[in-house]
Amino acid sequence: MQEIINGCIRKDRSSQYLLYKEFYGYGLGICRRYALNEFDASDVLNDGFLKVFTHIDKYETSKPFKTWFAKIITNTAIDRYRLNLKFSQHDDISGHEHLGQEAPVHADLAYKELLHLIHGLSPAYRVVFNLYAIDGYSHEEIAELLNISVGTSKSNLFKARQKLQERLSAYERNAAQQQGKSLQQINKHE
Amino acid sequence: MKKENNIDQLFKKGMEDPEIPFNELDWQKMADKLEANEARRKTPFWIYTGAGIAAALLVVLFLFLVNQNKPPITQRKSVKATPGPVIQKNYPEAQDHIVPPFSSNNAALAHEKPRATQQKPDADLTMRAAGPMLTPAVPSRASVAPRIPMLPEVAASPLLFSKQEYRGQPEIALARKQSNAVKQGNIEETTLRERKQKLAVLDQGNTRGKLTFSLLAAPDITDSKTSVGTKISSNIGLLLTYPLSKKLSVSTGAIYARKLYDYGGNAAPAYAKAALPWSLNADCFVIDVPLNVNYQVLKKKNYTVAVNSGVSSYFMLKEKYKFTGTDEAGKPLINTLELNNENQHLLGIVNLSVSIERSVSDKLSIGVQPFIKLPLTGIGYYDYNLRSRGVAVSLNIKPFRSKK
Repeated sequence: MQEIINGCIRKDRSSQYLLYKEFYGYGLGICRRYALNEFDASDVLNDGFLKVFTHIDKYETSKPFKTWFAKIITNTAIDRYRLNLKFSQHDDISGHEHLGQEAPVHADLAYKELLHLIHGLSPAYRVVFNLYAIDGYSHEEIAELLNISVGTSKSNLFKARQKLQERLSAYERNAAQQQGKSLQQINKHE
Repeated sequence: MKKENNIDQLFKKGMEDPEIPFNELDWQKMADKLEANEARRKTPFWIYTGAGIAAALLVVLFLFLVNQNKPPITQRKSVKATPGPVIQKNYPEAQDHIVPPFSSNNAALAHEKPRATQQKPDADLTMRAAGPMLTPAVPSRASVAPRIPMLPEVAASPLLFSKQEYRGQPEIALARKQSNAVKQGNIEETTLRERKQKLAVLDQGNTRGKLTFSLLAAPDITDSKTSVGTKISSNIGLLLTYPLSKKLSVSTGAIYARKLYDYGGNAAPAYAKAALPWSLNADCFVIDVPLNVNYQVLKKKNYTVAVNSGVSSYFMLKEKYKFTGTDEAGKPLINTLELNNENQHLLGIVNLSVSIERSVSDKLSIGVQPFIKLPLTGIGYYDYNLRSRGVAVSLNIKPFRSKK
């Protein structure tokens, strides 16, 4: 790993490629949670990687690279979020009823379903939930980062959890109904 | 509370480090971004220095022109400020001339006169050509002697305006000047034709006369390697050109451009098994401020051909983007983004062009200019390597140039 980082400091393209490949999935995972769509997520990821490559000489080797990397990517995503506040989204995914159609019980929810649920939140709820619940930021840190009050941060987190809970319950109901239908069909055949 | 924490844990566990397959297309975009960034870091040495020198040159030139073409009104003002002006009525040509009473105690006038005589002959001529002239008066003769406006010949005489001649004695110097003016003749002796000739000569030496204003309009195609489709963008602007030598000139100005372009591709699948197609339609309003150096390579009777190169700064006034994609269910997703004054790309574009110009008259010419604009940096919100190519049509005017 250190060799790759040294190569990146020398601006060696093959080392940059290796680092990009290594942290692509992890970085894109962060970006997808914050970004508006897949296109935006890839763009934020590359903006973040550009900062990583540009400032890699400032990385302190005593600390885990993954943490340093995640911080840069998250900050880049937050910068984009601020800019995207002007973004008008015509299609609000939160209104989609098809989301729960193939949902398993929530304990077994897969990545794509979780991502869908996260994207169902409004940007303000989503960013606070991401920062607090997944990335481990405190309300004070979130308030400073987003230039909002601690109270707003707490309120947004509460509402985000509430919305997610409602949708998870909808998933469970759908899943139960489907299970019931399947059992009825099996009984008919028998 | 416990339930809420469970939600946090559920999402943290499921989303913290997902397995996302690597997409080479994203690396290609990253590599482009790195190259653009490295190019931007390398170019300042020559581009920014060159552009800085050119900009400084233009500023100096501008100040020089402003000073040179400013009529010497300060002289008139200070004279007017003196108390008790006498309006001369004896001579029709001099009716508007204000003749202040002269006295050795009149500090303003005593101070002003030597300064006036220190002016270059050319500047005096300009002043004279500009309109009614100031007639300095002699104290005792103020109301008796005929006042005659200073003639160009008189003003141009270095001997008459020699500093040494009247240093410390402005009254004597002025009296001598006045009498010399009378001796050499009056305004009737300078024919209209002679005046015209002198003005023409004067105008040729006047730097303002060399300025060319160009009004241009240009359609262009703005795109990059990954563009989808072709759209015609439009430009309209005003340029100012100043010759540095017979063949070399510099141009700057402002061009208002509307840039339309489309992008498209396939995004890495987030929720779906197959890659999702997307497209981006951009509609950007830009002020393009070029700074170009022009070299004349050919000059025929009525035609000139020049090659031009330089750099442009883009000031993105408005950027409108429309993103169109599909979700995994095949349902269309449409997002729009509108930004105002968010992005500026200082000296971020290289300009290359060839201009062919045909003279219509002394003051007027028309031209065509095939051009290409290459980015040194990513342009707009999405940092695309936008290049433009098109043909400009221009109308070039030299408004200050006198007819020969």
